[in-house]
Amino acid sequence: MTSIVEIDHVFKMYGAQAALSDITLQIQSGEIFALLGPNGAGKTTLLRILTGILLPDSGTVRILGASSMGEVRHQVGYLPEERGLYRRQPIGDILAYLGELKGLSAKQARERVRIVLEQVGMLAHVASTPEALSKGMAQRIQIAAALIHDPPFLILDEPFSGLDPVSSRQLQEIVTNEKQRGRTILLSTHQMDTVERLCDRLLMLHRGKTVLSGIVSEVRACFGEGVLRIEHGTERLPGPLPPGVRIRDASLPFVTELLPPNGLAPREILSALLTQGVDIRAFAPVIPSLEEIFVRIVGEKG
Amino acid sequence: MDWRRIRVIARREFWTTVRRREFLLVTLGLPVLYFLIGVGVALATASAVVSAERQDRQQVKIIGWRDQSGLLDRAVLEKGDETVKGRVFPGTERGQQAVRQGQIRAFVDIPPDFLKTGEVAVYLPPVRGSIFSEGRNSDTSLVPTIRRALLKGRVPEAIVKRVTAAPDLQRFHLNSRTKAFEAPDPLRSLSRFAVPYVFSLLLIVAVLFSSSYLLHGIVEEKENRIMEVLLSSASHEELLLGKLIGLGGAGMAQFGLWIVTGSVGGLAALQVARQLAPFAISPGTALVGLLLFLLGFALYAALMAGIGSFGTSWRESQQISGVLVLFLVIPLMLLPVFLESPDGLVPRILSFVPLTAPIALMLRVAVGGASPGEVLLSCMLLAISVVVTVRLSARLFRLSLLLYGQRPSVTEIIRWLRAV
Repeated sequence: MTSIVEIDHVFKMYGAQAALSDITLQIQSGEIFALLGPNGAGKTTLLRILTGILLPDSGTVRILGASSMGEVRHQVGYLPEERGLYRRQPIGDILAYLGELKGLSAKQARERVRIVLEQVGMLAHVASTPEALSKGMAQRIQIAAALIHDPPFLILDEPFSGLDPVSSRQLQEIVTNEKQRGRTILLSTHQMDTVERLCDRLLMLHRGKTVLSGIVSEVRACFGEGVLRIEHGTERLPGPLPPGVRIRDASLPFVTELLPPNGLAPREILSALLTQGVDIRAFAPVIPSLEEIFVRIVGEKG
Repeated sequence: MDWRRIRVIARREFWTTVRRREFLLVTLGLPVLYFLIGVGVALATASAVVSAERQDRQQVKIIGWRDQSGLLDRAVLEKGDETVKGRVFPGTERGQQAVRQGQIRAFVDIPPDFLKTGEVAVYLPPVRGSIFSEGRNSDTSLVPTIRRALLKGRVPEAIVKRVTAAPDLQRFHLNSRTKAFEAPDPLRSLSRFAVPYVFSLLLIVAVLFSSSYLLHGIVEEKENRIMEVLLSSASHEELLLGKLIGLGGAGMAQFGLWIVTGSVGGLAALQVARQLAPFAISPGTALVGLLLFLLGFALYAALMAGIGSFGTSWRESQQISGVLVLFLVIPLMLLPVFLESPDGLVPRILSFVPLTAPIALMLRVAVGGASPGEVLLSCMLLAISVVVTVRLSARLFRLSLLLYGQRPSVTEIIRWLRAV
């Protein structure tokens, strides 16, 4: 896979305050990459650097092989967190204008307007003005604005915030479809369940620094600490337990979480319990949710 | 910079602006308003003239005299002139009484020491009209009558006539170009004043209106929060330049319409197109005027966009940027200085200061007080300052967009300017 984005040791200061400190990351072609972090972590600054709105103090940024955003503006679609539309202009005109700004001819822009509006299920509203739309509908139009020039790389900042579950699900489908079309997507969000469902890799920022990065499933597994969750037929897990194994949580009936010692494989524990005749219904390692990991890291870092 | 993107932005700004209800209202409404005001003023003036004539017809045409000095010729006083007759009164009290009773228009009391002091008491009915017209009608006929009565029989009649009718001075001025003496043409003199004055007013109005639309557009985009999308599609310089060009075009279209309707209205009012000929300005002056107009508009619009974009609302942005217009008005406030001494120190300095140069230089060029070298240097300085201002304003403009809804301090602005 080729790298769509290469950020190498980027620093950005606002006066004496470091907004970004030594950030390095790569986004591969065709993946959905999640950018996580609490408020004020530096996510928006990083996205603004990627879109060319801000310049880094030091370090290099390459997007689609170019070192200047000016060269690749027409290949990047951007949905900012602070987003809006001209309230009193027809949606078709707004999208055509944004398309022309992204390098399309007037005719191409008009054609693309119909295609993207159909894609987001808003073709019937081509002549409406944004002030007449609900928030969910407006958000779809804004996604359409990011897609108007059919860019290979999409940057979406909190695309699902403030949406009802149905609208959120519909937008997630659009994002998934774009990935299936081979588009690369950088997604900044606070919705960890969405990241687990949609994203391939992630990077978490805290106070301008990288605190976590990697493949989503691996990051979660890494934070699992080897805890095993057992569902059993009896109300309480009968003893004795294999040597060194401790009960981590037995507060629920028919469920026990075990903490094995280092070097003891889950398979050996399962085998020992079965040998004792324990009625085991389910046996699986506990993998923490991204939200739990997020809360833990932010809590630890203060 | 990508000129295709700038064209797209300029085209959108132009059409969005010219379709605005307020723009159409001002553009089409102003000529109509001026026409109505013109009709109103004409009607009021005509009515005042008719009324004055009626009053004049009804006014008593006798002036009362009392000569205590014994120097004035009684026959001259009684004869008066072609408009009024005279009547001599034996005492001051009786003359004043005649004024009170409306029998005479004025009573003139010449004191015994008139030759020494030159003082004359004039008693008049209550004041009518403005303080500027107070006693004017009486004075214009009284002074020649007193002079004539004083000289009658003492000097030859021809000298009396020349003293009572002021000598007609025929002035001939040296033309600095042709080196010949020429009689001044009143219309040409008027055009020397009118052309730079109208230019200055047009530039001020152009800057006010166009920057108002510019600010309106910027604040609207900030409030609509579409700016970040725009900034990811075009650089801040492209965005600002596109807006300046689009709105400059809209402003030009507006003033083009006003000039056309104004010219047509002026021609209709004068009815004689020939009379406009002395107002024609040389192609060189017109070219300099156009250049200064464009550079001046670009400078002020860019400044206003940069500084004004820090306002958190349209009203506030307008207040911030409105302060700048004061600089534009300075040369107009010093108009007498420019007309009297166009190559003096103050006009020269002001024509090299970018904020005052557009109007200061135009005033000097119009009255022939600027050399070609000065014009070139001033235009170059102005052009450089436009480039610098557009770049600086573009940074301020971008900064203001990133600080949406906040009002930063000057220190913060400087700190952010370094960051962006």
